[in-house]
Amino acid sequence: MTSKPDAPAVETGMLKPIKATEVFRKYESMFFFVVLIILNAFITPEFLEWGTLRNTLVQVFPVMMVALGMTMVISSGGIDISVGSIMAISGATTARLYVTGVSSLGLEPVGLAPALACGVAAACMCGFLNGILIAKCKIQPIIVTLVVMIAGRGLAQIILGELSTSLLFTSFADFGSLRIGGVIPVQMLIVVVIVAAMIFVVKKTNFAKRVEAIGDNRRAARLVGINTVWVTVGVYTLCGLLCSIAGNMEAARISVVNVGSLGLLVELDAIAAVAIGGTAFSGGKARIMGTVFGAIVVQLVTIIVNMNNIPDKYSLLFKAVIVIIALWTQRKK
Amino acid sequence: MTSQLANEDYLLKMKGISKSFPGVKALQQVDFCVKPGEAHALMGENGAGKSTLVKVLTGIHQRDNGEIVFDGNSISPANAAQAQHAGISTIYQELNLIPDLSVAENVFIGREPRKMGFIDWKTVETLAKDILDKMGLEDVDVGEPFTRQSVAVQQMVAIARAVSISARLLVMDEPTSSLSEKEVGILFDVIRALKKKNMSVIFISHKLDEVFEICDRATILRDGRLVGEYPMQDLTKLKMISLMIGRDAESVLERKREAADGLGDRQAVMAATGLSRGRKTREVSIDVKTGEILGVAGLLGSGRTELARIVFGDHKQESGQIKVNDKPVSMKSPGDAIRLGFGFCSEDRKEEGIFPNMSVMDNMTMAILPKLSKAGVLSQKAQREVAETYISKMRIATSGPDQLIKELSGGNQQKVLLARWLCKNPVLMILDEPTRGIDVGGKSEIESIITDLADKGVAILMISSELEELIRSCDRIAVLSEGKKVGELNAKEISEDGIMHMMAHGHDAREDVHDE
Repeated sequence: MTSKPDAPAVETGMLKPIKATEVFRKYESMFFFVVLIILNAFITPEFLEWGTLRNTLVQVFPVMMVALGMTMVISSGGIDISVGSIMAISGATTARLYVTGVSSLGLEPVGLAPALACGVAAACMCGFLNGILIAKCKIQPIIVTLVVMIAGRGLAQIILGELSTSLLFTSFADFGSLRIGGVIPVQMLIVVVIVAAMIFVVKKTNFAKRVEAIGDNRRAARLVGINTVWVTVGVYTLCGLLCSIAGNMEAARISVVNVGSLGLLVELDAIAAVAIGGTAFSGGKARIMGTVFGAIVVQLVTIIVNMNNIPDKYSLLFKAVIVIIALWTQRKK
Repeated sequence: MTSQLANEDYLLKMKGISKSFPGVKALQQVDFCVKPGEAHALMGENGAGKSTLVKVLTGIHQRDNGEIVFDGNSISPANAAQAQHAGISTIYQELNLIPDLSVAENVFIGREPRKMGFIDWKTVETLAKDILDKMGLEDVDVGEPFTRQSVAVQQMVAIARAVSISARLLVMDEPTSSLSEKEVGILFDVIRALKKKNMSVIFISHKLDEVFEICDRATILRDGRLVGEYPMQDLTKLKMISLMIGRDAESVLERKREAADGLGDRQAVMAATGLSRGRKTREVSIDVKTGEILGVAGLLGSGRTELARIVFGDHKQESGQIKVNDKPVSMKSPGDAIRLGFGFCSEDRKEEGIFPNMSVMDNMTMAILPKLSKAGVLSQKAQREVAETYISKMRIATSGPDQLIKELSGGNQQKVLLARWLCKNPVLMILDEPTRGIDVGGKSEIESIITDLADKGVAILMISSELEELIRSCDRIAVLSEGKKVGELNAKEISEDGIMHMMAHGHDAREDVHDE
């Protein structure tokens, strides 16, 4: 699929006549992907060089991780806008334990592995909390995650004890810029592993079937015996887990944890990626590969803007147009 | 009858009407004639073809064969507007008027008298008032919003609207279903007034008392065919029922007699005592035995569905106890009920049954995922095997396990939902209106699936608004009214007068049961 993005459309087209709009709806993320690659190839200087492509894939990493979690949340019929703050909380927890330690508790800085484990756990707890408030207390997902989004940055600062902590010259920072064999960025390896895992989850597990069922018809899901509360909690916790990978890897790459900027506005890019990827916002089937291409499309827009000296504000407008086109083609037949 | 057709003067003559839907012959060579100034009852069981015939007449469906002559002209309405233009108006059960507009606006909506391009509100109100006055509704303030009016008045307004567009023929489909007795009286007065003005009414109702009160003649359909046309005075309620179901009372009851013998001493699979929850369920006790079909009858809002939901663990009872195989159980969610071996099909397939955007296979196996998987990883092969087995076993019309369920017909969707539980070998099936919205063919298939299940020993609790359906299938019928159980007819009683009484008097049977 990755090597020939437009091949499936052509194949089905030969089997039986299918409306162009249907094909577009199914493969729209790839359509945008191809268009933006071509566009970039023409207008962005040095776009097709390895360095630029590699940077693109490294920069898209946090958005892609978060968007994968968001795909599951949206598949269940919910939404999570607290993802950026969860990234910050997770990064802050890791950095505090790894770099600073907690002097009031007499806690010296710990090793990277335990610090990371705590960072991941903190993010999962945030997701868990989201899930409980949404499924058990029955509060609207947008409200719950809005609250966590706002409170989360404050919490992140409390955890970190300061606005930013440098990770320079640590082995964590080295890991963030590690290139396997001196060529392949470590982020690319993680993406391959996580995407493969997510595809497995969505295609093969009971969990994903239940998530899809809840997203498709919540009442029916309850009446068929699905434990809607715990499945929903599971979805938001999974999203939190993916946010922690995004947050920590991003912090390691830029060698700093800044609670004000780590993961800021990532929810918009992630939601855009899911929209472009074709997962229905009313809930239903999670489209992992769609989201993968959707995230790259979002990043390509950013690159067009950044590398052609177009002011950043236009990138937001450009993304908005793409999201609207994506959602417009998704609307009910 | 054909000779009659030629001689007499009819307002409407439908001759040899046939209509097929994929897989179903809904109407076969049906004749239907209405004289000017008469109220004509169109009778038949659900699925007999009444609504299809009316839809052909009013342009919602197009006939495959036959001829419609209205007022001397041959017509073929392509849509409701054309039928209305010809002079045929339909008063639907759910009124298609606009709640927030005033009464007057609703009467004239879409064809308001205008002055210099603007709607002339004054004339609208005067004309509306005039029409309502003529119908004996002097008290209605035509300027008031439509929603403030009682359902009866709303219905009158719909009729007024029809009258004002000079309809010659009114089709009323279950017009009294949401009216009080007093309101029914008002409606009938209006119908009588309309008859005097030589307007004709096609009257469809399940309530036989009303049909006998207001109608002059009746046409009876069964399984899409014409049974006959009868003057009302030639019919009794019992005769009409026999004609509608196509059997005399005896044959209906055969299954029951056979079943009645063995059931008495079987153990109850599920026994509930004193279930209460709010005002909808009050001190209800019921039990279902192995292999028994227990019917639950009652009006809409009598607490039937609420009872089913408590038994299935969807709602928690406030008091009372449920025992399964003689052991008290506590159910906090449907999941608990399912673990006890219960299955449930909701009355609302679309909102509470199907996962519309998922495949037939996924829909069918959603309740047995753990069985088909190892460590949470689902075996699609096993899933497909189950789906294929039940698709062929239940003769589900689908292109295959991967087809989306929303693309299937109502009857086939219902079969998938039944299969969802059958593949789990349930001990108790709770079925809320299992044949609602399903065509004739599908209906009888579903009914036979249900009776087969019972014969295999599954206990079945079946709710239905269609008494005939309950009578055909059930071994015992519990009657609910206003949240209370007002009576129960056991196999023997069903086989004797009680059941015919219930059939003949429809919902009012509950009062008689009360007196027992």
